[in-house]
Amino acid sequence: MDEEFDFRLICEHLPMGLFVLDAERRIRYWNEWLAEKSGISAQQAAQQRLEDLFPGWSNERFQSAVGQAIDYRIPHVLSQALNRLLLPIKVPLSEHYGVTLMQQKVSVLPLSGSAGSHCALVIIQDVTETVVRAAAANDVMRRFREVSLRDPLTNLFNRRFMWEWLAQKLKDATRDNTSLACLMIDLDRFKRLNDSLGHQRGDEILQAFAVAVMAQLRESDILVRYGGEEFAAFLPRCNLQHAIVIAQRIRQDVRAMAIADLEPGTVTCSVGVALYDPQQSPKDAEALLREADQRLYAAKRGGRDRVCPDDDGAVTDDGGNFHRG
Amino acid sequence: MKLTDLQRDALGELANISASRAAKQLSLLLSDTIDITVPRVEILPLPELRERLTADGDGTIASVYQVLSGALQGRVHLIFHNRDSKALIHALICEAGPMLAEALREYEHEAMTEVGNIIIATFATMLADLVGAELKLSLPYYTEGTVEELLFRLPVADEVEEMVVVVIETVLHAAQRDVSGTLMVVLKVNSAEELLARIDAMLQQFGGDV
Repeated sequence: MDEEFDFRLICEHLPMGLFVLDAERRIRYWNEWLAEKSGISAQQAAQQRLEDLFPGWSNERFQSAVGQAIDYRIPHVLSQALNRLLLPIKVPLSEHYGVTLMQQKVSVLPLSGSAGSHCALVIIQDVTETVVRAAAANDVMRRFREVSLRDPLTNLFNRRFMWEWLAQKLKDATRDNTSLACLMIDLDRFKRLNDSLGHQRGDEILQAFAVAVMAQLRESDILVRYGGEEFAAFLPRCNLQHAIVIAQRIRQDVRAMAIADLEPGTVTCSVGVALYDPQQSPKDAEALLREADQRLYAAKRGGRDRVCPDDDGAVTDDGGNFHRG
Repeated sequence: MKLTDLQRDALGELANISASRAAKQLSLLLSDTIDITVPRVEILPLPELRERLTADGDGTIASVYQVLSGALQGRVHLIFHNRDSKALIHALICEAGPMLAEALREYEHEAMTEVGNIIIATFATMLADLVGAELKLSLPYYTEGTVEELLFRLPVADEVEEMVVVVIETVLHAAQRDVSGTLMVVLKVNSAEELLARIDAMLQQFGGDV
């Protein structure tokens, strides 16, 4: 190729930031793109250090990359993933997803000056759009995931969430040596109410019931719609006695409330309480739920509208034939 | 070509020094305590690597490499041994919660490229000091593929049979997990001879028996 081009002009037209630092870390070149994006002209930038242009600026990773480029002729990349950005340049329009500064992918390359001096060429690529797009996609996914983990009628968590959550919480409980309580809660004779009042009223009962139970739980507890009219509450860092107190409160509250505008006492519930205690025989999530479920059965057999174990911690169950409901 | 015990010790020592420098930089970048150790160094002909490298379950390995020219010719690879390395990067960069697989992969590759770049560059500066001449390194490239693709079929023109590899086992401890990798300096035979001659000279200077 025998034609001589004006490479400085080419650099001015490149849609990316280019600047050159000399061995004293002073700016020797600053292209038009950078001037436009940063509002700092080539004239203003000339012979300045980055910390002069951007007060308070410091970046050890970048300085060491520049040092290696100048002293050893070794190039470096500074990824957006690990560095976010090099120069604080505001992005105008999009403040989406918390992105207010231009996200940058940076390359630092060795460059020789005309007099044989060693410099570093810094190339800045604006990757803000990619980052915002990824954040938007992640947001959609997060929302989708959130939806897929909830029951649409009550907006409570579903079983899928429960298994994930429980696996983690049982691990935490074992590590921290704390207990975790499970309350299996079932509406008494719900099928009868649903059949006599209609499905829509049945749904309203379930919704109002969920709200009533939630009111008795702490922020760290979760309530799951386990089945049709069956709910499971999980209380981390809670002993059996306290769990029984909470269960009784839920039962009494539900009995006293005009749930879905029905006479108080129309809607009642039974609760089976079980405990995961790392000190006791090792139990897994399935075993914990099985035990809570067995106690719920016992409460139902005992006449409904009750908690098992009772306030004294006793599990009484006559074990007779019984139809759950 | 074989390493004498002294050469191996010297290379191991140099690799450890550069590893601790790289670890310092990585700790700063990742806001985590990173520690790098080099348990083993050896030299072998490139073709012998085929049997040494084990790929992941799907038959692939991940590597970052930079092409070496100037006083020493060849390339420096950082091979990440297992999926743990991805998990590590994932843990370090993904405080933002769940991410789409595609976006996450891009993040991972970018981050691994930079981590590889830091480790390779620190080692290369040490090599440059040792050889006492200018080395040129390309920008880092991230590649995933089979052992064959990554080491024997790169676009860089290599005569596989005439290359030797300085294999530097590298273990990176971070974020409560250990990730192991291998730093591999693939050199033309004459460059490897040059490197060993420099090591011998250094040993002599410090009064070692060569």
